[in-house]
Amino acid sequence: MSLTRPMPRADALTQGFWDATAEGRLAIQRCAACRTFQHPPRKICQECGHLEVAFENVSGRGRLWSWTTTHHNIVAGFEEALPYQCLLIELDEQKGLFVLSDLADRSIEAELKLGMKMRVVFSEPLANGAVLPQFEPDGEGA
Amino acid sequence: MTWAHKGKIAIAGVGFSEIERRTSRPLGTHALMAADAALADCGLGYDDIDGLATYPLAPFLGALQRDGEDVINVGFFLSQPRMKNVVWYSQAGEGLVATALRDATNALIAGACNYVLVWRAMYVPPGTYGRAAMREAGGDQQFTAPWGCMSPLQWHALRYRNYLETYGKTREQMSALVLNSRANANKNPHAIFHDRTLSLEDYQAARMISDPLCLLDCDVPVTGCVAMVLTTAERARDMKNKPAYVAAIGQQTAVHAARISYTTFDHFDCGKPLADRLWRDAGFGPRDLSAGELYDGFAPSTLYWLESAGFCGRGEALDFIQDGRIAIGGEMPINTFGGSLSEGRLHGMGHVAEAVAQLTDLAGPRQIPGASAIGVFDGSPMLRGSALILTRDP
Repeated sequence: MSLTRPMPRADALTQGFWDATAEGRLAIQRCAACRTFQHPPRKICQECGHLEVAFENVSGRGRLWSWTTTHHNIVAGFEEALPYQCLLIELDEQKGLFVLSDLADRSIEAELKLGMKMRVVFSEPLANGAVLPQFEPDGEGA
Repeated sequence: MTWAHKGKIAIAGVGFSEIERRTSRPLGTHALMAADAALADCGLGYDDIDGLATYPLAPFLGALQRDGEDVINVGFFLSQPRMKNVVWYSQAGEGLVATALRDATNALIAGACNYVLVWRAMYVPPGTYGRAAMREAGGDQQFTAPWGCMSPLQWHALRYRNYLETYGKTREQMSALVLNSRANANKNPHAIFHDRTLSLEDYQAARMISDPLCLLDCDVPVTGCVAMVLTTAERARDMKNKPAYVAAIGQQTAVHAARISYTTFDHFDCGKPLADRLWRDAGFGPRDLSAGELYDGFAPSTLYWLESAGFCGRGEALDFIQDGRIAIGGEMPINTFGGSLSEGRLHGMGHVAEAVAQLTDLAGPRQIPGASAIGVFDGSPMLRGSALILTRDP
């Protein structure tokens, strides 16, 4: 099975996210004033309007909020991976703080359950060097 | 206390273009057909129209957004030589076409104009479309495309899975809504599926698009336009046909802060404050309606409206739609014209047109005798939905 993912194109706003994943860390933008995390990144805090927002390491742990198995050819490069799963993880740090991802190990697709504990792992670098966060069940009490 | 302007604004004319899957004609042809029909329906001419409002966006990946071709902007009608007397317009960017109706209502209340043409035109491009082909993804897409998530239908599938698991329901229960809509479309001459029946076996055999959404849980893309003429109740009284009256109209404004997708918000947090305002403004509640026309671009959106607007309780919608309760002649008829699922993706304007048809006794074999009030809930509660309550009497 060959899978050619669209590669993330970092910019000034998102560079910190990809710098972190390249080092095996998950970092999410956080407001220095009201301490609210936000993802995707923004130039301004969506909660309080403060301008000082910076990437901060998070635990990489969260709960499986949902998943879908896509059978339809929507994103070029995924044709041979059909059907494939996307996961939506709600990070432990904050209610409503979601990251979209997938399973590092597709062989456990059938084991997914709503609300199960998940933890981040990191992909091999893509052709442009970007490292993607992926998720796996969090063994400690998953 | 009810809204001070309850019953003061009326929908006086409605017109459909031909509704097709694909066409070689530019969309402007359909827009003019619909406008001609709406004006004929209320006995006005182009030179009577002094206000214009629409929500024009073409909602698919790769749309050209080119006026007259795959979208119909305000500019399209402004440039029509017959449209000589326009003094006001609004082109909504949020909240789907119900926002354009709200803008038109406000303009008429303010006396900014006298007769507003509101339309929604939809286009299906030739060939394969809606597919993302990119080597690199920038902007917010860099946080979704690398994992193969790019389409609203995937986000709705994620939301629907969470709903089903949270409330312990099964996707098979959705067949009741889909089959009800198809049966109603079989009585609707505008419906793209007017002549195609649907069975439970068909539903069960439908191919999966993004689990748990199957093909038949998604609306059917069409090319076509629906147009309406809004005016004051006072003016509408002496016009050609009986109008329907606006009892309440509003927008979903509760959602705040950016998330990776609007679909992750709770449907009650989003929809209930809007619905509560509408019931207060109209002076009655969901149980007083003759029918509900609830947006179904993806079928689960209808469930979210049923619950957040108070037709049934949280997590109960898939049970509520069973046993003929939502059929014409049932306790609470829903999507009496076939919805977007079976009439076609007219982005909420088909829902409004059906409410007007029912309230003016023009729904033919679908007619609910004496229909007195109908709620139209557009979009999904989470996607800055908009809604209106229409009545037979002012």
